[in-house]
Amino acid sequence: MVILALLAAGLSLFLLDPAAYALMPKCPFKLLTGLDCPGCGFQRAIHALLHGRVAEAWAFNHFLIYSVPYCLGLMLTEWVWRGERQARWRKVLEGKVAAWTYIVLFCLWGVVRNLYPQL
Amino acid sequence: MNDYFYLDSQNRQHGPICPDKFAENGVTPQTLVWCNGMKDWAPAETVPELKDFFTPFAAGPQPPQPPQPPHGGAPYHQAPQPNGYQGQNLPPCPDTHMVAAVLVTICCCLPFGVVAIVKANQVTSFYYQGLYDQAVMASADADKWVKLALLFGIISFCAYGGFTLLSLL
Repeated sequence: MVILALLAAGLSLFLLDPAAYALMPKCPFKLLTGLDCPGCGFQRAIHALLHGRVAEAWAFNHFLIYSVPYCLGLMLTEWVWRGERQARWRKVLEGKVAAWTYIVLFCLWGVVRNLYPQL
Repeated sequence: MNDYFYLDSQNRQHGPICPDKFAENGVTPQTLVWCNGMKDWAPAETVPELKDFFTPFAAGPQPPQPPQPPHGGAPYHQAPQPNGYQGQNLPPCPDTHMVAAVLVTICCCLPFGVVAIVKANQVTSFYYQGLYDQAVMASADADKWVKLALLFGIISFCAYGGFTLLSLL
């Protein structure tokens, strides 16, 4: 289910430039508050990334440089690896330290990007 | 074919074993079995995948109970082991929903996604402490928060889409 949804999302983000279409999903947080949330820009960034424009992706959302590899690691752990290896990585990637690092960085990035929009 | 855990007549957990080995381990159609992906323990005969393993001897008398496993004289009453991942006694870790939780935070559904990550993290913590029931509950919680976040996102997207369309008219 999740994998299918991801493939569909990936394909549509590859084909459509989110900045060019009014009907691409918008961030509810931004609509309500006018502030950028920590995830804002990720669709444009993924679109750029899928077209090989890494620098542009970085400009849209700096946080993705951490969250995308982390998320790929999680996917490997949950869906690909099994047994001993899965258990080992699960303890690292889904342990307290990793989970809270992610949450803290996520919130910090949300604050910083609104305080310093030129970043 | 999945490997299955099973409960013997004294409700002690064994396995996981391949269904081919059911007969020699005394697993009957009525034995409660469990594998990854199943919600709860269920009689083996009710698991579709296992139907074929029982037809030959379903009518016959129950096979004799197996001899004690060759673990020497180790008493069995310490069944639920504190270190689930070392012993084979715990069922596999319930789904942590960590991937979905992280994706949901990136996709702009702030508060719920963060709760989902916390819950997903608890799944593994509880599981590796051997607290299987709590892990299952945390897993259900994580799932709930992921779904809430998704719902929130979808509703706001629909509302936004509706307004955009209206303003275009």
